[in-house]
Amino acid sequence: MVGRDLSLTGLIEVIDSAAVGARQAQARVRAVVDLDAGTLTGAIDQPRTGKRIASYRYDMNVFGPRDSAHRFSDDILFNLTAVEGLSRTRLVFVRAAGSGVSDLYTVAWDGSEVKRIVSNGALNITPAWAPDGNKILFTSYVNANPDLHWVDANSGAGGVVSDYPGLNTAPSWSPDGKRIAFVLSKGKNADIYVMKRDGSRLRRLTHHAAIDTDPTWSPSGRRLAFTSDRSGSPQIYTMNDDGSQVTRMTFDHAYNASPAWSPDGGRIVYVTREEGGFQIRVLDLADQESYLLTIRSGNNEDPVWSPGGRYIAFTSTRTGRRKVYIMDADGGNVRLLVPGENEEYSPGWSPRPRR
Amino acid sequence: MKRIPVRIWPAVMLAAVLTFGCGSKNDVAPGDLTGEGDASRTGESTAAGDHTSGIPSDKGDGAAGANRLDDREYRFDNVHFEFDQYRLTPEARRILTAHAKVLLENGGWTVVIEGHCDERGTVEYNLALGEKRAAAARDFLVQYGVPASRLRIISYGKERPVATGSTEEAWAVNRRCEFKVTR
Repeated sequence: MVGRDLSLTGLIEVIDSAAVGARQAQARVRAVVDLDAGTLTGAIDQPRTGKRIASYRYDMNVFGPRDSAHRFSDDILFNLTAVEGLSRTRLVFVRAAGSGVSDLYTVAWDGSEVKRIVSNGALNITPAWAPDGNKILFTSYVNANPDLHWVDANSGAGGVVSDYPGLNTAPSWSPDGKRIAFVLSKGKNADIYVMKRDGSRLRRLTHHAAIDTDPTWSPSGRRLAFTSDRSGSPQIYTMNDDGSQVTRMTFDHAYNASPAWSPDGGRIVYVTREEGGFQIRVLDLADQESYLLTIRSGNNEDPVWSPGGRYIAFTSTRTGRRKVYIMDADGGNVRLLVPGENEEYSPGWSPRPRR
Repeated sequence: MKRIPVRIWPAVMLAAVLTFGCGSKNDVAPGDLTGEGDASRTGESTAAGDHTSGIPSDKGDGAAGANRLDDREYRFDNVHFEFDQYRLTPEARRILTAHAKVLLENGGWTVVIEGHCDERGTVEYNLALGEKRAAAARDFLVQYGVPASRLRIISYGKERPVATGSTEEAWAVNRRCEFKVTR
């Protein structure tokens, strides 16, 4: 499990101890599980000298065996590469469950521990994981209108956040978790609103007769990117968190949507229609250059950044059905998150849990 | 008894609408097209007078009851849209006009108008687009005189396709408004 965590990062090559003779390893990792004491003890050594680089001890009675192993994975990664690991993060996604019905699931980042968290016989879509790590916002049709609901990812408790007639959808948490940007149509036209986490201080940010949707926060929490068809086709725009200073960001191609602002603030990843399908592009805000991350591989949608921005999760139809994938932020190392026959889409990434 | 002529006209009009409605759904032989054209013209010419006068009031007597029995067979055909568009096509307006007439004849009926999209494009954008399509259909019916209080819209975006497959045909069928009528 630790080996898989480390391989998935794409930063560390894991060599089985039997094969080490032929290859020059840079570190030797050993783990000892003491079932009586309920501990996982891990060590990183220099392979040639045998000198101890670091050692760790995890109380499995507190963390459980899986979380203990994931913690060790992240500690090894940080020790060797200074990169914060994601082994303990999870993703939420939508799984189709029959005609016009879909459930919400969460899964560990390595694709294990698939867990159903919302299933009510209705359509449940557009999940967004809160920065506090517990709550997930999503749109549910369970009350015969696309209302905004919340669910606790651990306990399964939940409730309604917003149930105006029409759309209550596309939720996005501000980076500090205090505000929610989302879309209301009020039976007319989709516009972007912001409210406080408790539902108070509802404020409308867009006042255009065109479609405005897909809000996503900049890491500073002062600007939002969104999709609008005010030019006649869907394009990406940014604005201040009070709706002022609207700036168009995309000009090439007739369909640009679904923006997600990178955690470092420097890039916006989005969906574009080109190459005979829908592909994922990333716009570098410093030089205004954009780069294609997927090419001729079915339709690719719903890009979201991992915490830290090293990876992007997205939906792709490259095998003929919608599935969730994770790739490096430069488009490399694409891997399927959850194998199987189910149609799955709209990933949302949890924050890193507290240590 | 004096009011009988007033009732005859809506009956004629509805028969015309029904002929038209069936014609567009079932695969009618080319020879029938003339009849269909005549029928819709008849429908339009009666509609002009009907529309502004006696439609909303008459409920609950024998003649109106007979009309509603016919209307129970009426199929609320879907209306369709171009890719990434919510403008009503001439064909969509034609179908909506027929719907409006039946709804005006049956004041107790309520409608949920569902807006749907094809599989292309993002989940969130298509939710908004489906809402626009349903709102366009609703606004047309309201302009025709159907009270807004009897109409509700809901967008399913691209989440509920009726045709599977990634073909122009499937996409065209899926870009639609459906009418769920409580009679």
